[in-house]
Amino acid sequence: MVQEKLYSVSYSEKKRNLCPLCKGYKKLCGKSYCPILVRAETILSRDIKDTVFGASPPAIFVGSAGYPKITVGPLVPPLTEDTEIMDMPELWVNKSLQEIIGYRASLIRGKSRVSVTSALNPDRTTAQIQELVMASTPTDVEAMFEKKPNLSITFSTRAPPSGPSALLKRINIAENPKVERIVDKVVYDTDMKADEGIITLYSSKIPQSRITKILSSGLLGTGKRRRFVPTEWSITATDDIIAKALRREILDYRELDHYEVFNFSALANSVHIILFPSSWFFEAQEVWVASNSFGVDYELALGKKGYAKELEGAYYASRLPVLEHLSNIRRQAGALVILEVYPDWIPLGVWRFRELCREAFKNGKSFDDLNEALEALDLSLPLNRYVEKSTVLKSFLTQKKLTDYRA
Amino acid sequence: MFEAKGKVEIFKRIVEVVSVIVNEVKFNIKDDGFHIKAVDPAHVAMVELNIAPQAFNEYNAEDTELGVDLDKMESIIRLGKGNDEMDATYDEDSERLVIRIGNLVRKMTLLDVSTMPDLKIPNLQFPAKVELLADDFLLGIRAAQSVSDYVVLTAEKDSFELSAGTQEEINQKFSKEQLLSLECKDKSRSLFSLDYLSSMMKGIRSGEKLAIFIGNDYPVRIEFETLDGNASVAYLLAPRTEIE
Repeated sequence: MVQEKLYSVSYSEKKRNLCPLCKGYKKLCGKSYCPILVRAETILSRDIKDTVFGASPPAIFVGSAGYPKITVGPLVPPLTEDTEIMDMPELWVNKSLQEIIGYRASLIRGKSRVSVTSALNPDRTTAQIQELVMASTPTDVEAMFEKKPNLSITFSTRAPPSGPSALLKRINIAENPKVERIVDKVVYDTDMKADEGIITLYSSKIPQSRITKILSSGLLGTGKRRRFVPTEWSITATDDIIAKALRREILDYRELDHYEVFNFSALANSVHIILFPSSWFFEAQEVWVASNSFGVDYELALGKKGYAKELEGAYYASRLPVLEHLSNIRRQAGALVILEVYPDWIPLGVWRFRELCREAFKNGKSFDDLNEALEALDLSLPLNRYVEKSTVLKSFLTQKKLTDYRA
Repeated sequence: MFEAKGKVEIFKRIVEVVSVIVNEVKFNIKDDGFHIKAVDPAHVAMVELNIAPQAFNEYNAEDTELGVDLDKMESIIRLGKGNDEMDATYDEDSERLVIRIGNLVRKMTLLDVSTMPDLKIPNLQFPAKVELLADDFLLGIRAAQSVSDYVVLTAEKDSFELSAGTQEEINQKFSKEQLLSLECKDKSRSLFSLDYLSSMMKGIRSGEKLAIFIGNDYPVRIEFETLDGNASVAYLLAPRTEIE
């Protein structure tokens, strides 16, 4: 069973991820308006009516407020062409902030208040939402709202920003959704645990953003345990569950025999990754360049026992691509990942770290010397700042092995 | 061939003691009991667990090797209470471990033991041995964790000391009288990762008596008995070197 509450978003994670300047206390920067919000809101279409017809990517949003009484609903754009990209972060890493905000502003969110356990006995609306989520391609939907959606953009901690929203009156799926056989199989198998379902879909190459939505809409897990999972929890649960399976796999592989360094930057963020010739360990440092502040979480070979308390969602979003890379090259290694956030950043969700890392791994440099490798990380602040904060680096340099003492 | 009946508690304890080091493990089952040796993926920590047949109500075994996924085993025994009777049998035909708790039967597939080699325990000579109550040691480890990621253990002729931290410091010193016993030829001092030590502490229960063997820049061996003296456990942990 997925312990979904494990993956909830804490107050500190929320605060850290709100605004680089005011941390969510609006207008502390001294300006009379918030430039981020204004920039976002100019993109909003002004002529949204109380009924919207369009091709849902497919997409849904499940809120966490009021848990276990939550809001679920479809995201429907007033367009029927090229909508898939609007809810697929896998395709965003080379897009501009403006384009991404544009995708999100186009999606109109319906809200229906239900209990998380209603995933088991869905009413007509929730059943339609679940059916929609299973679709492999954008699916035409008519969404009717109680009133005209309010024109605003909201940013969240882990999920991509969300656009206009209104209480949902009714939803009609206007065509037969196309569903892959494997999705059908996993969803209808009520003996399959949620984590097995996630792994099965992942190994069948179903995009991660879709797996997250399928988990979120209460379509995975054994019998009575199925429930709606808030989108933000579902994002991190999916990252963690896939990573745990990959970690087990890579522990059987030979250790890397040199250092490797990977860098990539986009969207006012950058990632800097170093792989060590070692057994598995992982550390992520999130660095807010403007305020010089660090958050650090790590795990040694024993694996992560508790929850990543400082980075939370960002830890799991950056650990998964590292394990994916190790699985691809069939090697075991230790990893230090530095996630830098620049002042012109706006909150887009943790997918950016996942996708920046995946992109970074396309191009690496090899080193035999640790100091040369560390220099090649090409960081914004002096190297010793990062080194001081690192537990895994200290452990890598000083931890002896029992095999050193073999008689 | 293997069949054992006993309290769920026995299997709970196996999972507790071993899973802090590793999740997949080989049970070496012989007529003189259960023997488990496991090392963590980084070869930094090891556990050795021996359970005598007397721990069980009924025990009947010829040499058998079972590859067990401890997470899976944990999910089964979680269904029983510590005092419930449990019956574990190896079904050779289906190559599964059959566990019965009350009228609940769970057949568990096993891991391939051919990929799990027998481990050699390093042959170590320790100049110092300290005996104390687990609770005293646990307290020190917990305190150390709040200031550092490693701890220094020092044994001298008439004291045993645990210290951690540089700016923020923790120190816990036991005189010979405050310990159950102390044997120390030469001053022995080694550094250990608190990630590993605190993980091992989760395998130790309050009230258990620990024998701690240390040396100079040398591994530590922590021994204790559990299951009413019918099982013996030893954890072994490699040291960290001084940071230049």
